[in-house]
Amino acid sequence: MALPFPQLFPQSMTLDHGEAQVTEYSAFGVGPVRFRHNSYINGQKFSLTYRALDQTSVNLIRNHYEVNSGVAGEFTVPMVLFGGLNVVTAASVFRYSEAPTEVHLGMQLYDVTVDMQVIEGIEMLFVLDGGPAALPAEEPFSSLVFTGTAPFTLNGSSPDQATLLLNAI
Amino acid sequence: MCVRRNNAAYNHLLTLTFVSDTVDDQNSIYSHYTTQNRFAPFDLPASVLAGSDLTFASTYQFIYARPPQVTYDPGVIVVSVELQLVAPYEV
Repeated sequence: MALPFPQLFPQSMTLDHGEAQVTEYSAFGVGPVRFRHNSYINGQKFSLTYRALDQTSVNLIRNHYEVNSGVAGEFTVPMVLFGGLNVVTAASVFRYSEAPTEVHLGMQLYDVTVDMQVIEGIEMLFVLDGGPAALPAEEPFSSLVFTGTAPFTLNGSSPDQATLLLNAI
Repeated sequence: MCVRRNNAAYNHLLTLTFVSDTVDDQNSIYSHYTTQNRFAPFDLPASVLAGSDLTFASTYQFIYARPPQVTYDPGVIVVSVELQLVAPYEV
């Protein structure tokens, strides 16, 4: 498993929101027609700026870049570094866009810029969340509950009880 | 040679910049971008363009022209969004 990026908090950063997997086609004045190939958002570009890192911290970045084979390796980044920006997940996979750059300030202090991009970002999945609903007592029935073609109305119960349960068997 | 195929004006580009002291606005824009991006067109709330006296062809909608850009300094989050006006279509 690749070494995660060290938990060093940047002083500032810039980023974009990545690209959806959408292509466009147009011809003879028709279109563009847009095709969505999957539900991933990938390619978010991050630039992390560190100011006056000490020797131990800059060595962590140097070592991480080396262990991950430079721009070839893949790694994860601790979510806490993004200060609450909800742009990627802890499972998102990053790669260095280019080698980190250092400015040596003297006194063993360094300004460092790290550019990285996401190669596997987030997949847009919708999760049905039932909340804290409790399982009520089951009600047996002996006849088909959905018959005919009329619209069926599902009447909800109190919010602390599940309204509808779908069991596979 | 120029050929005019119709009389509709579109592909207007609209750049909006949002400055906030919390990440909430950025996260809202990100959630919207991930579901819409360049694929699903959407309407722009009238409040966004209030006071600008801008009007666009009715029923036309916007898509994201490119991914939103974010600058994050702790306490100041700047989000730049570029939108493109397109003819309406169903997804």
